[in-house]
Amino acid sequence: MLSKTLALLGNFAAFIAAFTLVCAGVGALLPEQKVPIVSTKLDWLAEHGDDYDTLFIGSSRTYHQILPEMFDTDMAAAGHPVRSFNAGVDGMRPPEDTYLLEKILAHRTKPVRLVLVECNFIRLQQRGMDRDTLRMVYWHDNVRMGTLLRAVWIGDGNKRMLRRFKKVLEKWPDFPDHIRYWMWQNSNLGRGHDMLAEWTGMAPRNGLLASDLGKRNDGYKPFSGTSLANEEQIVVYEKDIAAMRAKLVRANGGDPVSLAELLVKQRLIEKAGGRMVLVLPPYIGENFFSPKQGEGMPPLLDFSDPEKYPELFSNENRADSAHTNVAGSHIYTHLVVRELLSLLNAEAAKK
Amino acid sequence: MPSALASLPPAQPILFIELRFVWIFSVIFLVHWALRTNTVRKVWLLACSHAFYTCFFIGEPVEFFQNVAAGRWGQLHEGWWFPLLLWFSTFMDYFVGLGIEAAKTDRGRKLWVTGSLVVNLGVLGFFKYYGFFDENVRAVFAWLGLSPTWEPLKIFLPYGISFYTFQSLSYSIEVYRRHLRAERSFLNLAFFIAFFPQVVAGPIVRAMTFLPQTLKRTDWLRVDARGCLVLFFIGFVKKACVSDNLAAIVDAYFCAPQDYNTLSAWVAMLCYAGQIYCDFSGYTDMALGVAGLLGYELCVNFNFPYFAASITDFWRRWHMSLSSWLRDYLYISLGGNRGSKLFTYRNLMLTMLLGGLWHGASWVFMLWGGLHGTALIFHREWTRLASARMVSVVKWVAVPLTFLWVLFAWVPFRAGDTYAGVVVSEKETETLGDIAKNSAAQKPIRLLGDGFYDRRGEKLLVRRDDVKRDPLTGDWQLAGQPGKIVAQRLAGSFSNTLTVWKSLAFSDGGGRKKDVCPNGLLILLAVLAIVHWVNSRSFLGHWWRRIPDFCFAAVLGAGAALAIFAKPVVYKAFIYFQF
Repeated sequence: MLSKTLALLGNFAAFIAAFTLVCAGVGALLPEQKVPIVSTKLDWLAEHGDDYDTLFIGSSRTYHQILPEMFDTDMAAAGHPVRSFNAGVDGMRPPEDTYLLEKILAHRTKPVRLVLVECNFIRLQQRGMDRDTLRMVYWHDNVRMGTLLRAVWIGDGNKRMLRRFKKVLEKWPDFPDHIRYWMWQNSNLGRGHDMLAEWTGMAPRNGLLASDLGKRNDGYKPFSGTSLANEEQIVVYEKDIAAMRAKLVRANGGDPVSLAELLVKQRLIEKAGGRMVLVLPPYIGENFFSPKQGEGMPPLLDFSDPEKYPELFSNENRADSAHTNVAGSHIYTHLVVRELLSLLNAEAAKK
Repeated sequence: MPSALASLPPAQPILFIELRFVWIFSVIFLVHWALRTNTVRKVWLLACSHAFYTCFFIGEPVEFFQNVAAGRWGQLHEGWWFPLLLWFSTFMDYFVGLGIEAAKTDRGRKLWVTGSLVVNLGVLGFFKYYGFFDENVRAVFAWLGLSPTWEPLKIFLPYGISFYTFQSLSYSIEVYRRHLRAERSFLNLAFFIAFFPQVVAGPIVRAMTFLPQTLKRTDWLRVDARGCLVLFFIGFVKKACVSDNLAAIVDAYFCAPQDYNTLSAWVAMLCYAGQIYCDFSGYTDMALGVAGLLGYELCVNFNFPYFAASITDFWRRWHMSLSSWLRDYLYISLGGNRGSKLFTYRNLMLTMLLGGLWHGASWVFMLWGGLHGTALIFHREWTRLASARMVSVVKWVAVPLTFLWVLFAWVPFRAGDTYAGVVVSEKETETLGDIAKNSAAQKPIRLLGDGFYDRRGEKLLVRRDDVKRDPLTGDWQLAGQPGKIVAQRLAGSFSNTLTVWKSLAFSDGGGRKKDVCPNGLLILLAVLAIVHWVNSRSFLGHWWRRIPDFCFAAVLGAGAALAIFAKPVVYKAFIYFQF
């Protein structure tokens, strides 16, 4: 009986081993998958990456709110000439941003100088529009899956097992989707079909839009929304502002896994010869956190305070409660430069 | 009435090619073989079969029971109560069987079997043909200048009803014909009708072949596990890797056949021939493999039909369980060939027309049946009249000629299910939520099969739960928003059929014509045909039986990895699920 069971287990192991080996082998031979916006930016940086020494990484708060051209002009005027690229992507947060950063830095032959990274925490929920799309799948490699697993298990880092289990159960409903994406990515699901579709030219395939790079090919694209359109929206927005004041982003120090993920990014950037600066965008909501300074944590530029930056939160500069409009983005970019310069100058003075 | 309040679209079936089926089956398999007695095993499999079938209609079971408990009828899927029809059919035929045997006179026996026929076919007819009937009556009314006063009923077809109705009918008829004793055990009969590998899309198993199996205790030592796993794997490859890949080409062509040239028509039809064969025979292979792993044998349904040397031969090789059912219970009941030549041909034609109608409530399916009926009559005449010399000459072209006819007949079969899509949005990529929000401008999209694509050919982020198919018009609508049409069923399937036939007959009809595919696809089709032919000749033999167990497991693992690589992400439901 025992020998039969062992033989059965051996056969199952042979099945899994062969499956894994073939998946890995086929995966190694395949080109990168083309994901809208992400691949457009990656492809551009693979070709022109060394032209830039400064990068912005983050979500739509980066993609549509930081203008590299304006940033470069302001920095040059202050005696710090740089050439920057906006690598922000709608809805991007850790650990996807770490994956993207790895890919961007891998293409570079020259060292990077500065990388401004949004201070998002890891969240397992996905945007409805991303569900079951390549956008969710492409970054689910083993490393990122490990990060997500830690995020579920460690949670807010509470040492009491019961509370931790409670947190695990809270996060669990979103986790199976990530397991699915991880399996999808590692089993090369559908890649042969996509290649056939490309080969025959018949079936639909993912098309990349050059316009995702923006008019100046610097990665910035204005936010599609215009301004808070009517009284009703303004009322909602002001209500949100009030709520935010009651629950400041700065009060959230982050969970251990999100903090560790920041340090992973920092190591990557330092390895590429650059330095990392964290950014808290002008946002009303709980997507971001404000890590405690010190203990090797990168410096933070915090724009989340409506008292300190009222212009970023005033109705006429907002597209919605989560984004600034074009006018607001201009102000925001100038402010980023101002705060960055004061940080750099303070550091220089210390030295 | 709760069912009337159900507002969610019908739930999605569980397919053998889905990962969740692997988990579900693993549990069923392990528990089945862990149980000791035959009766307990059958109870377990019957419970699993009904649970499996019920999930086709209720969606997520936990969510369903929570909604029922809370009285949230509006949150249920339409048709959630359809599994009761399977129970109804089972109970009825159980008592009909006992009734027939208990009847003292032939008249009594006839009454019982007639009751079974009327009720079974009545239920099938109502769910399957009400819409068709209503549509045609309305057309006649319109032609007469009258407008019907009744509201149309929104009815959709319960999965598998055509299959299990025929299966349970075969039991009543066999008992009536005294070929079979009435089954005393309700468990055995219910298990025979509901056994999950075949309940939804066949093969239509005969009571005479299955019921005796339920009497013996299943024995793992007698299970050809390797054979079953290989069968399941081959079925998976046929369905997921071949059929679903060919479907993209076929769907694109049938969206607008008038836009394509003759070569495209031929390629698309060849692809469709491959798609439907691999889809259906793939399902059957998987069903046979699954049933085999549980210790039960189902009947073979396909025997390389495209290598048939005549249309009569084709029907001995294609959907064998249905064709033999139609022969034994319809053709013979109509009188078969026990009469004049004309009488025989009438029976043949009627059988094929009804066989066509069994596939779907539409005139195009009747046309398909009629074409096959005509070919069967022609073949009979040919066999009678042709001299031996002529037969020997034609023998060389018999296979391609038969295939050509089958190919031509597939045109109406496929052309009846064609859609043109519209998306209501300005954005480049949209979800249905976005479509609903931005209803300002209508932009055309391509709708390919079960998927929705935007103008760039990018898959729209639409979940099947977000859309609902109108059972009357066949249009796809946003769930909960009647009138917000996402994709319209093309009217005039006959005109589509004629367009394709004209194209196949080298009549492009002018205009700008597109090519459906590059030459690469022709090479791929040729490779598939060669593989199929090699397989039909058993040149490769059963080499996989001679290798050690761990090598077999490794080969299967490697094969599974390659199959997953080749299959599309978005799977399509089995074509025969709609019948």
